Amino acid sequence: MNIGAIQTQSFDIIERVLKEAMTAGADECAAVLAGEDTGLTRFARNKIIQNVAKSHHILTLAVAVGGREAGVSTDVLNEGSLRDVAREVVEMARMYPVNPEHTGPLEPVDILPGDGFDLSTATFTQMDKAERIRMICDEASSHKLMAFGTLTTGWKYEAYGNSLGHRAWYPETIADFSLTVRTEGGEGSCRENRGYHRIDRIAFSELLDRCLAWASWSRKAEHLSPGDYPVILTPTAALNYLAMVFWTMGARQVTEKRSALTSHFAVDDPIGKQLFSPLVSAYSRIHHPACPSIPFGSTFDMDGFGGQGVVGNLFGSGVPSDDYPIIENGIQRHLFSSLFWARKNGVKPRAFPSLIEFTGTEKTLADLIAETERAVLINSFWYIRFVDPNHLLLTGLTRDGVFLVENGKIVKPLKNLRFNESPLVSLASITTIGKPELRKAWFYNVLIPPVSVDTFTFSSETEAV
Amino acid sequence: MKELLELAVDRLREKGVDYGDARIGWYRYQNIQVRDSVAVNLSTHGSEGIGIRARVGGGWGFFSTQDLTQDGVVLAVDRALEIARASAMLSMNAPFAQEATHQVVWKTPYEIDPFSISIQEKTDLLMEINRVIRSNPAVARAVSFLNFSREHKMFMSTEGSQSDQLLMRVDGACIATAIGPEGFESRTFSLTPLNIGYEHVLKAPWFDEAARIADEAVEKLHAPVCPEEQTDLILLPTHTCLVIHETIGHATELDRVMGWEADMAGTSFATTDRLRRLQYGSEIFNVVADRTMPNGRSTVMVDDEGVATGAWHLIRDGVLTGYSTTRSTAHYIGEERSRGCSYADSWSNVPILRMPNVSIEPGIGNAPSYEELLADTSDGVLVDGMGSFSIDHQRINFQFGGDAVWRIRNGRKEHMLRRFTYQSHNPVFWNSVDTICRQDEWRPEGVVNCGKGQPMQRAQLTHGSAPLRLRNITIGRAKI
Repeated sequence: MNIGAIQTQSFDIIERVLKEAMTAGADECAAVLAGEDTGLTRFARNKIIQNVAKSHHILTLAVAVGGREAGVSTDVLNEGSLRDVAREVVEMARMYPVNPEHTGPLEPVDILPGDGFDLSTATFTQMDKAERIRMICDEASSHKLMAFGTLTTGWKYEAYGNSLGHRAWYPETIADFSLTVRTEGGEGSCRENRGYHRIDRIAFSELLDRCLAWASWSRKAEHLSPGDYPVILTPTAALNYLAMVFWTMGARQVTEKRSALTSHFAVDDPIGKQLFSPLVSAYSRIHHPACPSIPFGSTFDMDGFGGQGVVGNLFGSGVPSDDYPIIENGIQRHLFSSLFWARKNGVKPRAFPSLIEFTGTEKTLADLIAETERAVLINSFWYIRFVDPNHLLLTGLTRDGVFLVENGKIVKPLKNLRFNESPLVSLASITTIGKPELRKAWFYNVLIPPVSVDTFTFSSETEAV
Repeated sequence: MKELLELAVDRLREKGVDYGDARIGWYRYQNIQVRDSVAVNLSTHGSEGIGIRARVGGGWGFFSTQDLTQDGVVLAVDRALEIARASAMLSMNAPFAQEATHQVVWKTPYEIDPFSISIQEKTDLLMEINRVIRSNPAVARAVSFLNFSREHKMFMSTEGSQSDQLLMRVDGACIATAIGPEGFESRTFSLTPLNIGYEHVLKAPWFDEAARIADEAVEKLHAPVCPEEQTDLILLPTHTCLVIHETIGHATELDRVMGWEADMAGTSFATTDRLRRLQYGSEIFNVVADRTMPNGRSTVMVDDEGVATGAWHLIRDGVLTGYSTTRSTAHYIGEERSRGCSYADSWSNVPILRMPNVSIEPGIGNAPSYEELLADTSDGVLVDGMGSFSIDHQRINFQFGGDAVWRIRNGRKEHMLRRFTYQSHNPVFWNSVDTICRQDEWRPEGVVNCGKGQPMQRAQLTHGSAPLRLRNITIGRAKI
């Protein structure tokens, strides 16, 4: 495969559709072309149950005519369709009211090149994947355990261009692996998942061994009365739960008093305030050696239902990623700003980071366990949802491994528990922080450590395993 | 395009597959959103392509491409075959249920094509809705939106089945947010999501509802926080919809039950050894799965693997009596035919088992009206709309909130409650149902964004019910 040729073809399409839009009458326009060639193999009960691949690309075009905006996306990219799409979206914009919050596209700005493309990952074959999965399933079966999961490999790219001449490009490969090991009777379970840009970074054997061990240990789980307990969160659990805090950090949301940062802490402006434990520092990063990430992104307002969800800005794409502190020693340093909000307030637009790095120590999860007198150890959470966005009060459940730790040792598995707790409270009551590990979130990467939290509220128990 | 389907299916046959199918899809979406008087989003999306599914030596392969040329289709078939051969290395080799061949042309019944209505008209409607909401001076923000989609797909299988189906979908909502020293609270009116035309938008009582939710958002902001206690719940169809979806619809998907979703969505407590034994709900509790209901969000004539759809009971007289199934899962419960629950949200995704429209049947005999049920409740809580929701991965323990909740005292709505939640678990919850209102109170509601599968796919379902009452449910356990 020739990724350079794909880049040339991508920008050829971008240039043509921008030209068509301007010819059709747009004052301003911006286009994103995103493509992928990926395959996902899914297995359950030690067998492959689904095996799929797709070759797909999608073009998104935003135009403005006298401050009237409209957007269109399509996956039909022939010459005629580009012209039709451009004409259609310009006509749509003409019929729409002027957007008083219209901001044109971004001026040209330097985007640092990234290095997230690995040829051996891009060319990892279906047979390669099936062989890898067979080894895993055979090993699980030999322990009288069952393996479930997915292995995804492939490559994707994103090309951006606008009518002011700003251009951005990032190709990357993906290698995502998730593994759940369950006991044959379904009374024990453990899950791990990892995502990198290189297949050779996935430590298949290490992940399998951990899942085999923890699934076996989690059999015959015992009752724990709901209530307040100290907890130890693995990096995965910390990501599932603590990273929800970033959804309170929209600059507009904060200014308009629709963020838990203002309503929970009762402050008008959280910037510079000591909101969290001094142990907590989180940074937006670009090109961290541990994790190449896309060096540009999209800005949006956190403007959905009751403080949840986001509303994208048609011209908010192509914003360069940046190195800056979000939280530093527990002090809030920066918020995320859409293009409109940034220009209105004379600040730098900040997309949601493509990589967030929590700093930590050299302590491993085992060290945190060894230092603990009594706590609940949580491998991962499931089905976390907002309960009260005024306080970022969340609910969810533990899943795939929850244990009681006493006197520095894991002493017994526990039944899964529902929690009702706020990351704003937990980030203020972190007592120990470990060594960050890379985890892949929904559309971003996180370097996040295991942590010990002083108190955490469980509200009920479940028989679910 | 039929020629491309024939080309794909012929090549699949030539290559000696056990089974194969091809599905070409044309999808068009339109989303319009207005915040206060700012038109924040106007976007359309169009998509077309082909997905090829092949079964070779018991292994499955699927490949999708946008290349709708003869060469592109041949290449896609060959990639699907290559993938299927790789799967055969570690195949489950599950029996594939038989199905008669079908030749079907069908579309959603609708009067007005939503895409024929001007953007100006739709935007004017949303602007006016927001103006009504903001006419309440205590409301700080109004958001409204409309979503439309047109999903056209043609299917052909190596068995000789063919279908040409078109789904037209309409949904929308408006939201009022009140902000004050107490924080912020929102209240939503949702247009019932149905497969229907623009006439659904025209008939909706937008302005009455906009004024009502504005008043209720303000009242909710100043309402007392929900206490922790056990009490009776009256659930309205706008709320029950989501509870049906999470606690019954997903729990009775046979792929989940058999562990196929164990790595992500989870499994189920409603295991096959409990079929026709599990007392899922009280004796008046009956739940029907139905992919044929008029205007249902998952209604089609044949599913995405060529199976004719139908209706059946999941729960009868409170007892678990069935599951949703596909051709690859029906054998697990000894059924010879699939129930027709295979669905892919796009030509680019492989069909997987998705729950059908799942609804609670109305009460019979002397079942009361809603007003009679309310009058009969001396102390309890009335729940309207969807709020926070969370359920464990075997669909046992769950916690739900509501969009608007009122304290009931002596048969009347007394005042709203803020930060309301209730917790319960299967099967205790549905066994607590003591009253279901009568047929004329039954309403369809819907879920438009159900995620399942790897890669994740979106399904849309209708879940109907009449107002119903549950006894002694724990409320208010979620506290900051």
